[in-house]
Amino acid sequence: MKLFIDFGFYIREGWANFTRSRMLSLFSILIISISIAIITLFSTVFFNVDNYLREMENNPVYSIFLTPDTSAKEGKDLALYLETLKGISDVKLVMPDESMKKLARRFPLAGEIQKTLEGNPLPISIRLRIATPSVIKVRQVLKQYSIVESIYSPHFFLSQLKSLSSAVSFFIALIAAILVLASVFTIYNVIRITILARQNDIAIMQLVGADMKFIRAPFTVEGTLQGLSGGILGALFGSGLIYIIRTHYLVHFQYLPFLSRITSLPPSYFVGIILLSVAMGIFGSTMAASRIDYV
Amino acid sequence: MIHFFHVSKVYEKGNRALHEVNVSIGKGEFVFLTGPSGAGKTTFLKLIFREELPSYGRVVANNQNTIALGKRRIPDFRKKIGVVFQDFKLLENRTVFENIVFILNVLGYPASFLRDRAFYVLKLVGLQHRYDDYPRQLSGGEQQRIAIARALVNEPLILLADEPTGNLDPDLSLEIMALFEKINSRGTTVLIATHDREMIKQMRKRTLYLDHGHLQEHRK
Ligand SMILES: Nc1ncnc2c1ncn2[C@@H]1O[C@H](COP(=O)(O)OP(=O)(O)O)[C@@H](O)[C@H]1O
Ligand SMILES: [Mg+2]
Repeated sequence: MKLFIDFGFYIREGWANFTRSRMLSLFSILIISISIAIITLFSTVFFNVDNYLREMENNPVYSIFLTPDTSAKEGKDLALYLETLKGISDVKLVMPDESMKKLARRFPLAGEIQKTLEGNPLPISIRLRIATPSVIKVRQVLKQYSIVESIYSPHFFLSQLKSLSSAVSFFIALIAAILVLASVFTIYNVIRITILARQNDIAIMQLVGADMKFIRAPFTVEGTLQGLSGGILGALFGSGLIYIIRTHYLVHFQYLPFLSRITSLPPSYFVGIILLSVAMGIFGSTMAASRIDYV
Repeated sequence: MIHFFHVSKVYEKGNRALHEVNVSIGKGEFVFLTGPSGAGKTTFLKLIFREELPSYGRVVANNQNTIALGKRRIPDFRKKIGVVFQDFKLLENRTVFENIVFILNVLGYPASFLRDRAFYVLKLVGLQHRYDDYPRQLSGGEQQRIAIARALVNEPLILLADEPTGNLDPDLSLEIMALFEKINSRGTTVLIATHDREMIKQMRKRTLYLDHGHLQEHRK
């Protein structure tokens, strides 16, 4: 009960402080929200790359190219057979015309070259997605078929992408850490300044017997409020930016499925990012408040 | 309740404020501390609620040697001592009501009590109608009465008042003195620093006389 009353008091005092030092609070919130916006952007990139890699790894898409003299019927039979196998989903027979159209869409030059050629040089192919990797050894099954010319799976590409992405993740983590430090430092200093500005009040409070926690806690509340509002603003700002980038720019990159399919962060990530921001507020302000000395 | 043993106070710049002061004030006493300005009255009070520490000797208030008092225990020690500061020390950006409520919060009063208790003490000093004003909107005398209300709010064990009537006209001074007597009659030890000789004469209380840091006892 007593604790509950105290807590209400801290919140009220902290809120009063927060609104009283408006310019400083706004400055702090601005810095925090910029950091959090950048962290949101980074997290979105990280989240999408990670998802993409995981999907590629767990549900790889195989492209099976059949020999040039394979007939449409033979191709279709193979596709139907593959569909009956456990662990394989999304079997799609791709006829040469379709392949060419796709190629031309990605690389306009290829379309031009095609016009000068007699007929379509592309073979029939089958695209399939592995649903449960452990269940089936695609290559072994396919090797028995003489009409299969070559099989492409993303595994080699994947390991390269993975090492690239871990290098990028490290870089992102480094920058995020710097941003977090910069924010904590800002909060720390802003709260220091408000403490200095209220030194007179603090001395009076101590002379009438106020406990240190009574004096310090409102500053922590103040920092928490800065972290919370900076975090919410930053997350909104960051996801707004992503939305604009996605709807205005990335949609034009249809031939790069990764970019055109970028999604915004799931809610749990936003909760995490805002909690991070609140933690920065609590940490920075508590450090600053702990330097208030007894009079 | 308050004991000074061979207390000397030398400020940093070498200013000697008190010299070899020995005195005891018992529980429930009502005592005046007087002397010309610069004599060391404020210093004497500051030593009691441990705003200052003695340079030599020791001060014991409420059974606590102030030198032996750990930092963390200072707040609880001060909660039992009401102080009317010479410069009032009101919180400038809080209203009169908020100033009183703040001290009640500090003292741990439950929320349901705050309002009634605050208005009760404001009524005691006759300023309940100014509850929503800020200290800067009040005259010196009114601010002084708010400072008095704040010091009384808890019925402390010890009440220290530094020139509490310095800004009040004679009638009001007497009312405030009556208030201090009332508090005193309920068991609070009262020590008032003042250079108002008329009042000391009228009140007929134990009086300590300070001059250049030397303390002498005058009993009427
Ligand atoms: N914080 C201080 N630092 C240095 N000298 C001080 C300080 N406070 C008071 N003094 C000096 O101590 C002496 C006593 O001051 P004070 O206790 O305020 O006297 P009074 O309250 O009787 O006017 C004065 O000479 C004053 O200048
Ligand atoms: Mg004085």
